[in-house]
Amino acid sequence: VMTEMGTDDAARQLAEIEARQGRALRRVLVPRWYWWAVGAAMVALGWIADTQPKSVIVVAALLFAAAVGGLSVWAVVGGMAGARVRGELMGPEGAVGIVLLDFLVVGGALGVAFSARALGWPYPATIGTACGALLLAIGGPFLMSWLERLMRGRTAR
Amino acid sequence: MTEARFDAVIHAPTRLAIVSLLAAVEAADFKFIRDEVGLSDSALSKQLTILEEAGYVKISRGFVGKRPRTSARLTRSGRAAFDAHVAALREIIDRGARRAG
Repeated sequence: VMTEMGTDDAARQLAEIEARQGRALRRVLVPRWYWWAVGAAMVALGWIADTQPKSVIVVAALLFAAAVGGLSVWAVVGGMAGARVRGELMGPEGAVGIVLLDFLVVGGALGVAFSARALGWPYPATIGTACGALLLAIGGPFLMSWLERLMRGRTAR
Repeated sequence: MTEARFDAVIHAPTRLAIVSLLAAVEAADFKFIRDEVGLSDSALSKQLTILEEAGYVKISRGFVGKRPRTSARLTRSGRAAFDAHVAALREIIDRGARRAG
């Protein structure tokens, strides 16, 4: 079969493989709405922290953790797209990228919230979480496109 | 380095599409593969069975709640065969380029 195949056919087949894998990788990565949904939930939690009594804040924080945790696990096990990301394609760099985004968002939100409180601004937690949500909405899709490029570079080698 | 080896089972266009897809993910649901490859349920089942019989794909059947869920993943030999097939394609392209250059 090998000798019957010409260069053009081989190049066409290879291009089709790469295109198909690129589409699959885009589908299995977390969709854009996920980042906005988590960001909106963060802001809601910040507002609750600024305006509600402690008991409500504790319940809201638990609900937030359960919802975001559940959504993230669902995405990782492939429930969202119907397929699971191949861990070895992501590699340690991918994991580091995800952890860095988490640190950036949480650190940014806490830093802004504490600064706002020190400056005596109203609704410091809401301001902080809004900044965190913005970082998430920008950084999430950016991280996904970086991961897609990283993983594409490791498929069909 | 992967040894180049043209694979007749993978070479068929629909199976190449399925294997390419599965090589990019850990595992995929039947519906995901069907939508991506654009085959009917029966045609996909037939191709997956051929790949399973060749030892390239492992099919798992289970339930999510009350709904049946079938998923497929490439086996180790399936991944090796796919990598070797891709290497063979690259070899053809390289040889053509050398001849042209």
